[in-house]
Amino acid sequence: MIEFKNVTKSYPNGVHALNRISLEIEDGEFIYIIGPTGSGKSTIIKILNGEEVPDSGLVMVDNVDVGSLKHRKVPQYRRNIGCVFQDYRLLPALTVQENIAFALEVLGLPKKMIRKRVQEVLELVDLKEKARAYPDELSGGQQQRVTIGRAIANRPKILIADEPTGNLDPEKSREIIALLEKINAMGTTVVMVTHDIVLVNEFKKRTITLDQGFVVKDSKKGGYVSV
Amino acid sequence: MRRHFALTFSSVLSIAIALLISMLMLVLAWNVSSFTTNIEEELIVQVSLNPTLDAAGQDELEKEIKEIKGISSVRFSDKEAELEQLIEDYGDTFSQYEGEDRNPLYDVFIVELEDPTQIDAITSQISKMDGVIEATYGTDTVNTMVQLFSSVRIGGLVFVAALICLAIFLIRNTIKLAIQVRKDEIQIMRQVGAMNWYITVPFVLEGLLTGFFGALIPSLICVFGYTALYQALNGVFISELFVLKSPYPFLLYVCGVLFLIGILAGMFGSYLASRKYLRWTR
Ligand SMILES: Nc1ncnc2c1ncn2[C@@H]1O[C@H](COP(=O)(O)OP(=O)(O)OP(=O)(O)O)[C@@H](O)[C@H]1O
Ligand SMILES: [Mg+2]
Repeated sequence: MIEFKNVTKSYPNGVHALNRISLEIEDGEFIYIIGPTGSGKSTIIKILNGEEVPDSGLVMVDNVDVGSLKHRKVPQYRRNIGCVFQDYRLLPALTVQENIAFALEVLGLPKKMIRKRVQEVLELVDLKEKARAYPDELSGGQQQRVTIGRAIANRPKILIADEPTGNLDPEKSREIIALLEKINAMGTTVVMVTHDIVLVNEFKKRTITLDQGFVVKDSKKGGYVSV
Repeated sequence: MRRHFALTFSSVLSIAIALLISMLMLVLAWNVSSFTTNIEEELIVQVSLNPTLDAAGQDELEKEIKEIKGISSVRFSDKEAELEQLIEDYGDTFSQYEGEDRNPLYDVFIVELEDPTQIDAITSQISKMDGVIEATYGTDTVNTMVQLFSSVRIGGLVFVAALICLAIFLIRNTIKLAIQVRKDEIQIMRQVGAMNWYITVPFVLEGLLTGFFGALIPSLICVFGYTALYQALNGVFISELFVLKSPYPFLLYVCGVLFLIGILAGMFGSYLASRKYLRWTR
C-alpha cells in the first residue's frame, strides 16, 4: 500500500512542486496521475522511487517510511519499485535480452535463474523474436516494452511509469496500456503519469488530477472531466 | 571499458610521471639520510671540566647536561684516558706529557646528541654551565652539511607528499570521467536497486589497476637505473664519506613504497570520485 499524508515538496529554487498532498493507493490498484505541465506529477514519481525527499509529511510504501530512508537503504527499497520513463533509457550496446538481464545481474542473481526469468519476461512483453536485436533496431513501442520488461524483471510489487506513452502514437500507446494492464492483473500495483486524456478516457481507471501541486480531483470511477 | 582505454592510458602515464619524480626524491632523500647518519656518528660535544670541580659538583653537572633535550648519552673520561687516546691517535710526541702532574688536558664529558641540528645551541648552553671550561664540537663544514642534508631530506618528503596528493587528484579525475562515460549504466543500476558497493567496486578496482601500472613504470626505471648508477660510481658519491645505499634491499623498499602509494592513491582517488557521484544522486 502507498500512502501520502500531507506531503509538501519544494525545490531549492523555491518552486512549490507539491502542496499538502494526501493519497492512498491500495495493493493491486491501477491509477493514473494527470495534470497540466509543472503540476508536480514527476515529483510524486521521484518521491516514490526515493530520488527526492519530501520536505514534510509522510510517505509510506509497504510500511517503509520513504522520506526518512537512509541513503544506503535506498537500493534495497528500490528493488520493490519498477520504474519506466518516457525516454527508454536502454543501454545501446546491449541486446534486448542483455538489457533485461542487466537489471538482474546487478542484483547478483544466479545466472541460471536470470536466463529463465529473461525468457519469461520476453514472453510477457511479447518480444521473443527480438531478443537478440539492439535497441536502435526497435520501434519506440518495442523499446518501451523492453524497459517495462526490465522494470518488472525483479518482480517488484509496484510499477511506476512517468509518461510511458509520451513518445508513442495512439496505437502503440494502447499496446503499452494493454501490457500494463496485464502486469497489473498479475498483482502489481501500477501508478502511471500521463498527459494523454484520450487514453485516460478510453481505459477508465482511478484518476488523480494535480494542479499546481494540489490534488484537485481523485475520481474512483475514472475518466477525465474538465474542472 | 574498451571505450575509455585512451583515457585510462593517459592517466596511467600521468601517475607514472608523478611517481617517477617521487621515486627520484625518495632515492635522494633516503641516500642523503644515510649520509647524515654516517656523519652524525662523529658528532659529539666535548665538555672540558674545571679541575677544581669536586666529585659532587661533577655529578651535579652530569645530571644537568642529561636534562637538556636532545642528548642521547653523557660519558665521563678522565684526563689520563684522554691523553692515552691522543697518543693512540697522533703518536708518541704526546708521551712526554705522561706522568704525575704533567698532563695539560682536562677531564671531559663526551656528550652524544640525538638531533645533530641542535648541536650549536646545546654546545653554547653547556659552555655556560658552572664548572665547564669550554664545550666544543666538530667543524663548521660538518655542521652546515648536516643542516643541508636535513633540509634536503625534509624537502624531499614534503615533495613526495605533494606528489601523492597530485596522484590522488589525477586518479580521481580519471575516474570522474570514467563515471561520466558510464553514467547511463550507473543510472540504470541505481534505478533497479544495485547496492552502492556494487557500483563503486569496479571503479575502485580500476583506480587500483591505474595506480599499479602507474607505479610499475617508475619502479622498473628505478631498479635498472639505480643499479647501473651504483655500479658506475662504485657505490660511493664523490667521496668515501657519501656511501650510496646498496641496491638490495634498498630498491625493494623504494619499489614497495611506490606500489603502495600508487595503489592506495588509486583506490582512494576513485573511491572519492564514485562516492561523490553516488552522494549527489540518491
Ligand atoms: N530538480 C528540480 N529543480 C527545481 N525545480 C524543479 C525540479 N524538478 C521540477 N521542478 C519544478 O517543480 C514543478 C513540478 O515539476 P514536475 O516535474 O513534478 O512537473 P510535471 O507535472 O511532471 O510536469 P510535466 O508534465 O511537464 O512533466 C515545476 O514547476 C518544475 O519546474
Ligand atoms: Mg513530468
